[in-house]
Amino acid sequence: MVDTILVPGKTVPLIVFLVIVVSMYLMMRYASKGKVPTIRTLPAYGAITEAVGRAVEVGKPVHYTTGTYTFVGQTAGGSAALTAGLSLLAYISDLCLSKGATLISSCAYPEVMTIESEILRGSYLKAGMGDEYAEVEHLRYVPIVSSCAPFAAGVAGWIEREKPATNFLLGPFFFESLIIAEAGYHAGCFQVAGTTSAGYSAFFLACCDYVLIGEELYAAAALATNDPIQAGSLRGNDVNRVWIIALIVIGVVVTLLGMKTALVNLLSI
Amino acid sequence: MSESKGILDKIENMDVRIIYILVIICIAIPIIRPMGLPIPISESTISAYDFINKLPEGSVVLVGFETGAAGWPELGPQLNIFMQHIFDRNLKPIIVSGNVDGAQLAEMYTIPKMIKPGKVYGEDWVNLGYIAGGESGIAAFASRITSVTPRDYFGTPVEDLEMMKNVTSAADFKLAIVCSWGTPGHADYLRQYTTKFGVPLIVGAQTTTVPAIVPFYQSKQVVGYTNGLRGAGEYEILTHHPGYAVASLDAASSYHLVVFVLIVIGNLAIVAKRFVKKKEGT
Amino acid sequence: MSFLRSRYINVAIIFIAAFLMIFTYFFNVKVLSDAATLVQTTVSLFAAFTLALGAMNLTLIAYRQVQKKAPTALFSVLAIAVMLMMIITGLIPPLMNSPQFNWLYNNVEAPTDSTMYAMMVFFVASACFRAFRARSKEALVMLVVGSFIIFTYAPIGATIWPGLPAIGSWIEKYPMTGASRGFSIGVALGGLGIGLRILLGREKAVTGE
Repeated sequence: MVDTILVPGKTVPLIVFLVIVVSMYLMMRYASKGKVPTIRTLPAYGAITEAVGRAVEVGKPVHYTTGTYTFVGQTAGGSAALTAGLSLLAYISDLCLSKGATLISSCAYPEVMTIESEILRGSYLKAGMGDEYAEVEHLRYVPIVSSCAPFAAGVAGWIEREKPATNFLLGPFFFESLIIAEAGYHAGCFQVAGTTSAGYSAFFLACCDYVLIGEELYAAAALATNDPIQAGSLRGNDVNRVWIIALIVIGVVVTLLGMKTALVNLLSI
Repeated sequence: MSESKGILDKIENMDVRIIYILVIICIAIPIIRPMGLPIPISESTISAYDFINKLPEGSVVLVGFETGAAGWPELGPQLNIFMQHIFDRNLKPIIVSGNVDGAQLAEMYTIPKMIKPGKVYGEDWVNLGYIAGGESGIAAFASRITSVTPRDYFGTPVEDLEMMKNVTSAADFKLAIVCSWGTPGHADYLRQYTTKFGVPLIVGAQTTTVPAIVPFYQSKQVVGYTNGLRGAGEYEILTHHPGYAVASLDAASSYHLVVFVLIVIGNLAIVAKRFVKKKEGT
Repeated sequence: MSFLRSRYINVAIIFIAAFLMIFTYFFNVKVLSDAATLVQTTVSLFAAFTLALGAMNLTLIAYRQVQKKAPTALFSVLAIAVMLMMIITGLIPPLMNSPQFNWLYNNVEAPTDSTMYAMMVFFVASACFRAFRARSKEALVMLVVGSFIIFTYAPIGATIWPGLPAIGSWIEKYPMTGASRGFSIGVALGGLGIGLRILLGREKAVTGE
């Protein structure tokens, strides 16, 4: 009965999954009860304040984009990075309002635009400036359907014309990452970027002043929101990394001892 | 000395327009006058080729046209040569796409060029069109094909297609090939076809995504992959159908060479500036 | 209608859908597998509807631009006109394959899309020229490794010296793959954390709070 209910070959993945989820949940619970772990400072996160300050000095706007992913459809795989990008948008929006900088955000999907509009409106209300928020002025909708080329063209063109002081690219990106980052470089923007894609991080590293690579984006979102649950989740990631490293070491030792087949058979139960 | 420093500064901060002009020249010349450079074949391309060669005739192969018009210059040649090889081997491809124009690109640019005489639509290949919903759509498709594609690209009910009579889910596929420029990508296909149904996967990759594919190739979850336009050229040579990709590789070589030369020039400028600074200091 | 915006309803829907997906990945229970397929099919339907949502949103924004006499109002009108042209020609039989639609796709959409992607060629060249500077030890290592990888991917590399692609392949197979695996594991764990927070209703960014 157990064999037919449990999909063959999924016993070990199920155990690993449960271990990872339970340890992450426990770390989040400890953090919510006050045992908040310390997150090391990320240079790129520290540069956000500097970037906004530069925009205030120069008197030019701050540009923000989370890329060309959304929560449904073919780009739903980037939801986690998009969520982190939206958390950072809330933080940067509050920071801009407190320092007197104008934030303009570009988005590619209507559902993301709705969420960004809510975030920005919330920031303005929190700062007591609810009347000053105007979606038409602070949100740029550059729609895409099958390709991020229109978004890249629209945003790059806007950056070339308006020359914002600062350009934030935080979220999941496709090839528009290079086009927008290069446009920002040539416009003289101070650029802070972050994405979870290895290939496109390389483009950011070539064009931007500070980059959050991979998981650092999630860490920056945890720092930005000051949410103990997010910090606990990061601690959970670290704990799980220990399990995974242990598994890797066991795998290497077993392979060197010539028992690789037995291990593969065990993992295929 | 300060004059030489000024020249070195100019080289170090070269106007990008000069770089762009150099790139245009270095790409245009080999296209106008091909050099015919030898093309070594990668092991990963040979693996993909051998796997398709070993499939029995009549095997059903899923081909994911996961690209739009923008990605077609890099992925199109790979898809074309895969389809040509599939038709040569008398395999039966099912074309799908999680991108809105992928299936249309197949009908416009691949099928007219790669179809062999005597092949009949519905018996020898089918195009099931666009699958909405990204990975969710793929998952639903893999579990039961008619759940998300009850009709094919042309509106014919899937039950009426001769080839689909015994093909109801991903368990009936002998191979999945995906050429993707983003999402749905090799990771989605790996999760929904390979891990769930044990369908072997071949990836036609963009060069930027190769680092993410190599780990799966080493662990044999991906049985072979082609690396961008170069991979398409290698595959064209293996299948004895040299075409667009092979013709473009000379231009790719000269482009890589000019980028390397620019990098060297930039670094030489830095070294020379340090040397001049030292000399000025003494 | 306000109960539909209730956080608890949203979290309940997310939890049930996610639980179905996760459970059916590991366990074979026919009723739940059928329910999971139904959820996946429904999500596909929603995704298809978002295309229409995008078109409506674009029209609304263009209308607002024209109403406010914004400087880019003309371009917004042009965007709507082009969108309507593609929709109308796509509805001419044979659907999505009429000569008019194909002409617009082949001569407007495909070349413009391909051009934007092709611009990457120039941007990569200028970015490489700027980025690969040996200003420090780490940058020198990146420069050397990058050079080997350039000649591994270029067919001319083997012509210049067979050792170039050989060394580049070794770098790709071992150090790069190791780093790539570590990167993927880290990103996957981070994604799992966010997924767990969304599941438990603890992620505010998703609901715009």
